[in-house]
Amino acid sequence: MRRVLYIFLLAFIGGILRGYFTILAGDDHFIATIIINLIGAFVLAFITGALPYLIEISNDLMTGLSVGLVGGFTTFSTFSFDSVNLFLNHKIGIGLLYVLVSLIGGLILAQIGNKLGQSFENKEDQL
Amino acid sequence: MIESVLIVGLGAAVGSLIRFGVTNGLKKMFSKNAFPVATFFINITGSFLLGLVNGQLPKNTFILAFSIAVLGGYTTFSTYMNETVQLGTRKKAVACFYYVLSALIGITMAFLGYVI
Repeated sequence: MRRVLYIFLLAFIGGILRGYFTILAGDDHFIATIIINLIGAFVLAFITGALPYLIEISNDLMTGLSVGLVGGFTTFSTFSFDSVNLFLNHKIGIGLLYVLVSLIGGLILAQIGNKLGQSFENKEDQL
Repeated sequence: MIESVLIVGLGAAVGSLIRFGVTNGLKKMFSKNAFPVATFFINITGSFLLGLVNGQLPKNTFILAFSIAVLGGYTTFSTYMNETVQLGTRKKAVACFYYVLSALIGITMAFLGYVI
């Protein structure tokens, strides 16, 4: 039950952050979605590796942070639909750029987050 | 402005709980699969539904804004990327397949949902 509550509250915060960035970007909201998804890809990889070694954290709160906060912050459906919208509006170049930057950037940032997160694990081993 | 932001927050909270439930259900059914079935299913269905609500629901209504918010919280980009990285360390081919297929089918489904 505690896990469900953490997910709900933290996803609420994640959603508010996404909503704020998206509205701030106005007509260029797809740029906000790219930035949100790239930040989220990095943060999720980093906290999954590092957080258990940095602080005392329960499994429930960890799930709340990953599924709720970061999961509620990032979005795949808007990524898909934004791309469709750009293609349908004949903005083929921007559409392709949007897809490629999201996918390649997301993967690179998740990889960096993963490596950085693991370095905390390795530090723990050396102590 | 504050209202719109709160709608996204509430929708994301509801959507994330649905994702949590669906993930738990599907992980029990497909526990032996290397392929991340749960996230794949969630992102594909969420993309289709987002296309559908944008195509069908009247513009500038609360129900459309809330549906978009729920689907935004239901689907996830961060887990998709992280599963690809994790899978890439063990099964490169499956990781590549998951990475490309999610994007291709996700975009196709959003299109189909919209034009249906």
